[in-house]
Amino acid sequence: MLPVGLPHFLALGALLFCLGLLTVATRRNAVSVLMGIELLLNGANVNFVAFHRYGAGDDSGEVLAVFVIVLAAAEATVGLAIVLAAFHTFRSIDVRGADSMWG
Amino acid sequence: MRGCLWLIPLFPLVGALVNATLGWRFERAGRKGFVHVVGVGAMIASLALALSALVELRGLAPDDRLLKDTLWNMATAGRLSFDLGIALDPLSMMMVLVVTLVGTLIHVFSIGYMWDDEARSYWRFFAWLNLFVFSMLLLVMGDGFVLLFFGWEGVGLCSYGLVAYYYTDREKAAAGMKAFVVNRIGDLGFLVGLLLLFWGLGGAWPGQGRGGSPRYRPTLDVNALAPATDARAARALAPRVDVGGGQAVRMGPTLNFRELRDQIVEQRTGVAEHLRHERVLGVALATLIGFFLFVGAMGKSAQFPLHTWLPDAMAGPTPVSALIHAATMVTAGVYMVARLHFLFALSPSAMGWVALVGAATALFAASIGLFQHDIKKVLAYSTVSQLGFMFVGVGVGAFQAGAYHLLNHAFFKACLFLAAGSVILGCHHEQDMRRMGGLARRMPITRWAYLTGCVAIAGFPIASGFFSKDEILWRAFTARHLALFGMATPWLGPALCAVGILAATGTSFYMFRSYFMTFTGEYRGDTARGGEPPPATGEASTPSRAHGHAHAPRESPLSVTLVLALLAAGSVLTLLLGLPRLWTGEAPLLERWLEPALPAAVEHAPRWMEWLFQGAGVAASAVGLALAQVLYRDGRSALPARLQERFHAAWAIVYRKYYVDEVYDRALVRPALALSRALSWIDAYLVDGLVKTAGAAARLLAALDDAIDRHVVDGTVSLVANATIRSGRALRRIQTGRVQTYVYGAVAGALAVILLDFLIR
Repeated sequence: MLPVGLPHFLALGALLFCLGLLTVATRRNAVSVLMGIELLLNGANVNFVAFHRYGAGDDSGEVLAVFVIVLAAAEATVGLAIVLAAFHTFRSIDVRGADSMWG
Repeated sequence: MRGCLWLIPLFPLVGALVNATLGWRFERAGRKGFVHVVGVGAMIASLALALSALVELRGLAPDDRLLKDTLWNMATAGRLSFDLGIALDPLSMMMVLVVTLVGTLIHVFSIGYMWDDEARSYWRFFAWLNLFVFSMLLLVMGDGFVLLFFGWEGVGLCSYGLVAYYYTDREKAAAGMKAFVVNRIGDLGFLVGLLLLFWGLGGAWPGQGRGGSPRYRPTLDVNALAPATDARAARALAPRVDVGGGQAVRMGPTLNFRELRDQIVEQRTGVAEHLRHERVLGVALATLIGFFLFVGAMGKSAQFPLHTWLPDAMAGPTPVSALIHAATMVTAGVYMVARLHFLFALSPSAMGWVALVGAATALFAASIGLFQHDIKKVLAYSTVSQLGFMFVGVGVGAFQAGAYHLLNHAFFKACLFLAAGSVILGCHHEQDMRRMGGLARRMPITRWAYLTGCVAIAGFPIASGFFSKDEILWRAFTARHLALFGMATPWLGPALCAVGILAATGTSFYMFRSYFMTFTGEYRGDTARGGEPPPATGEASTPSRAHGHAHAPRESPLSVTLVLALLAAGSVLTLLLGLPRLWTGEAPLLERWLEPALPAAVEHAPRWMEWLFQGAGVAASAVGLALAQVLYRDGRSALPARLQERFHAAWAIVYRKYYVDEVYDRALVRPALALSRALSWIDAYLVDGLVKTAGAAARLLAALDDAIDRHVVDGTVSLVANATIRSGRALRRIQTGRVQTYVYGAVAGALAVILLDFLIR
């Protein structure tokens, strides 16, 4: 059985980040985009936690991870509020429709 | 009355102003009557004041007969100072009465004559007419040259305005201009005479040194020039010469008639001697002054060769011809010579010149009048001729006779003109006598008025003309003091007299010719219309202004006939003023009246000769009458036409007025026009060309500068601005507003950085 080491966690983080990036870049649905952002954040979180477990001697990785989770919660709140407002304005949550300021 | 003299000319001025500013409103409001109420009212007020002035003047002793009224000081320059002063002496009084009396009558006549006029500016007519009377009154009442000249120009202006009254008619407007221009030529002579006189009296502009000649040193240095700021200081500066009897004469240049007379008449001042002996270009100064002043009179009084404007001036309405071109304005020249008689008396040559021109004009104009067909033209030439007689009178020194003829002429010529006007009105604006005839029955009052005028002008002793004309010819015959160009010519007087008698015969002939052609025989107006036009004469007869001859002529309205009757009575009654000494044994009334102002002539010849003269005068008139009667009575005789055939060449020369107009046209008018055209060409092509070239060059330079400015300077600025705008416009496209695009960008950027990291390491 292959021992699980830092590279595996980093690969998982990178995979999560790439999936999140792909979601953000391709999905039309604003809620999906928000979900992609969550993936991005969590990809980064995995890195933090992994570096804490295998690298640094202090607790900064975990603290940052908690910060990121809090941040993600706050971000989801604001993001959903924006989506709601966008839906009120455009009667749609398609991110490509929200381009009325395009010159 | 004293202090109110200025009211006499003021009333017509006010009338003119009221009519000029409000007249059209009256007319538009349908109150056309107000216009003539104002016009005639002003004249009547003026006449009443003139009459009261006459009463006051009569109340004074003969030698004190002078009313003076100084309004204000007009100007002061150096020692020269002149006032706006009005004065009435017997001569002015006579003129004022003529102007106001005849003027009032003609204003009344105009009501009837102009009421239905097609020019539709009744108010304009009356405004001009009143303004004319104002100017004429200033001319005759002015106390000095300033007012005389002001009035002199004023009447010229009004004459222009009234001759060109029908200004839409090109020919008539041209006649007005001709009158004005010819008058201006005379006025130039008048001005030259005035300036010569001013210089001769020692006048000079400040800083120009001494005027006059070095010999002119009376008793004081009159040439001392010192500045004076007000009138009193100027008067105090003028040196005085004591002439004895406690009297002193103010010396130096003056514009006042009485001061001038005192300087010249008083021998001790030395002015008379100076004027006689001082020579300019070899001619005595007195002669030159007299000559040039008389040139002014020639223009105003239509003497040969400046007579040509007067017949053309008949283009104006008939009352204008009567008032301005017969009774008043044209006599201004005679008045001026009489007013300055002391000046003319200095020079026998100037007097001889005046008399010679007068006699020549009298005969010349009378001969033209013989064959005219236009009734107004006949009267116009007769006016020129009679003015010639007046100048003979004043020229030979019979100033009183000249003035008397002026007075008589004002009445009978106004009467004749107005009667002609009445005829023209009756014949529906026909002026050609060949289309009249037989009007005696249809227009009895007009006929009798015209006949009275004819008798008066022809010189039968039952009306006024005889007495003045006879007096003039008699004085001419006895005059021995005349000279021409400095040479004594004692034969000139009798020669003038012979010419005068010949002219008088002609006068009688053409006046009765016009009477017979107009009033006797059958009315030819209807027949001439259907048949062939009147024989070709080369001159277009005045085009009929109105509606043909649909109606037979009939007598004019009351305002016309009343005036005619009054003027006819006047032409007879004025004879009482001049009953000759020969008949009554005492001096004529007018002579006694004018005595303080004008010197009486001295008698030279025996009584039987004078009787003979009067007989000759009547005989001349009778010959003229008889000839006219034989040839033109009832229009039946074919003799005139045959004579015209026989002597066609001579007839044509006379009929075409000796071609004076044509000569002027060739010699003066056309060269002047050609010159003006040439100058206009130079102006249009050379001067304008230069200006245009300069303008084009400047424009070219400006265009160049503009191009540099636009393309180089502005170009740089624009380039920057445009580049900014264009790049902004291009870059704007990137900002799509789509979040995902930005994500692509961010990812691409990150990949690029990573790639670079690998490559550069």
